[in-house]
Amino acid sequence: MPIEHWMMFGTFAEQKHFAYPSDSSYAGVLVNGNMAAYAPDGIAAFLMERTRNLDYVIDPLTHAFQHDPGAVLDAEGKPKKALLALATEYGELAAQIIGQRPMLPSDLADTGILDDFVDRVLEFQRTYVSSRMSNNPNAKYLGEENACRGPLALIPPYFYLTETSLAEWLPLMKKAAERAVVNKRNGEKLYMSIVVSQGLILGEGQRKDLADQVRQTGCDGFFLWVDNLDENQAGGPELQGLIHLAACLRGSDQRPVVNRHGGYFSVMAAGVAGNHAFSGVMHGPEFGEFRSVVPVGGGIPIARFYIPQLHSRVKYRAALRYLQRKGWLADASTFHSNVCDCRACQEVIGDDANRFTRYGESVSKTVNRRYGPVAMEFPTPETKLRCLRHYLQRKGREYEFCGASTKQRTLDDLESGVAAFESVSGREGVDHLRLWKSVLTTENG
Amino acid sequence: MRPAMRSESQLVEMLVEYLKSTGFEVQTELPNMGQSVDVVAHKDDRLWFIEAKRKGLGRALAQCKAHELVADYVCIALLSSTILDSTREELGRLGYGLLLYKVQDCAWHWEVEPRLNGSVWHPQRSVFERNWTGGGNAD
Repeated sequence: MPIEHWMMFGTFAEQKHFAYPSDSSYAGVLVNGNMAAYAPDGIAAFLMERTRNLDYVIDPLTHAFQHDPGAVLDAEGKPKKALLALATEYGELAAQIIGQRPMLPSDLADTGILDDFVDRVLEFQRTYVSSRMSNNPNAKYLGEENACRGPLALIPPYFYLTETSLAEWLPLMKKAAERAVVNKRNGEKLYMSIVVSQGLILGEGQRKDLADQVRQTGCDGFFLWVDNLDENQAGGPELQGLIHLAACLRGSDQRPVVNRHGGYFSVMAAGVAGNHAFSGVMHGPEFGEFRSVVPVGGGIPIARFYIPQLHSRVKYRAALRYLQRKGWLADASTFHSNVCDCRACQEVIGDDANRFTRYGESVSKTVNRRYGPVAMEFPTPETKLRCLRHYLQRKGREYEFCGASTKQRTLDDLESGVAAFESVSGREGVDHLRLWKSVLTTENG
Repeated sequence: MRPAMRSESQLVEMLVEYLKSTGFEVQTELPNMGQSVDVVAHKDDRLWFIEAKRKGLGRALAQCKAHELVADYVCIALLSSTILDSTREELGRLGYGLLLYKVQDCAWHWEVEPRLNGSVWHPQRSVFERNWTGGGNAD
């Protein structure tokens, strides 16, 4: 059963990646509401030209209003333009509070205010971008039906749910979803966005109850996001909780559940190895396999090479050490046989394994640090593109493999990764593979 | 007697002084594969990478792993008068050198001699050498 491979739109510079390795690599694209509000013509063009074969959804980003207002301010202390544009579309409440104070459950206690908020959030997704598609120069070639296509599904207002805030926000989310379901137009689908803290997924009873409540709204599917859940670092209880919550949301009627920020563990869970706990998994161009709900930001970019057998993006210097110690950089044939023979690696490595350095090429810049100027390395744009293309090639193979493989083959693949790399990476480098295998084995017998 | 050392940068300054006095050309804070090498010393066509710490070997050992791909000799310089036997054995197993700055005599001592590193990957070494001439702090 194919696993839906979704990708998140981040910046216009990333547009071309949505057709890589091919036009049919992805099932869907998610566009954040602030981008849609700020650059609707550009987003319309992107959806029509680059991704016309893909489904799309617009994330209304309503959770952004509930956090510390500082998170939405620019360097001058004003609301970021894109979010301000979004807030304006959502009506008086959002426009008044953005950048001033967080939205509280009590702000939406009045039914009239909540209903207005729901309607505006949905109308924005329905028309703000699609109405601009007819102005696109390519519209005439696509025919009326395809020229102004709407999103695959609308997402009712949603909020970040934690153990302590669940009791206040969930009832509002349910009311919002129920209103959306009642008022949905012909052929429309509604997917709820379920954004939860890691703590919230640890209790079995809590997971079942949450899933039951949101399924009762009658929505057609779900996008699930667990705050900052890095599947390569997570513990067994978190991974088990993730699979179980997804399965509960799917239910016996197998409603679609897409993991908004998932890595290879989620891809396996979407396959037979995880009893199809997810219908699809999403990530960004090289980033986004996990993400904090409240943006953390910062950090110095480092070149990372996606090691296929580890299913991990590994710092270039570590990847080099592992591969060199294994002897897999002896020559190109050895590299392609043991590491990767994807199109990107064929182009980068070619017939010379020494070219592996191209996955780590950097430029040195002077940066002012606490104790004075320091020379630091930053990957070149070419390096980032090479690493990204290799990553996307491997991700495509992972989704195909897990969608078609048997459970045993999926688990055996993890074991072979351990066997291949433990001697060079130590236990730390492979323990996530052991844990994934353990969780998938336990979960489904 | 020198005043008490307050910072790693002071330790590095003194290390640089010592290495120069023994015939090395020295640069500090050179980038290598996304991290910075505290001290890069050069003598007799050999590259020495040295991580300097006031205390605690753990981080230095982690950084040194990547240095094995480029440097002929990988060393750690520590502000300490002694080390544990287990540390000595571990460094010996890894082939890393250890310089200790002992406050008793305000001098550097080679506590563990480094072994010539056989793990250099020459393509990456070439990249470093090309970049080395263009960056870092020449001391």
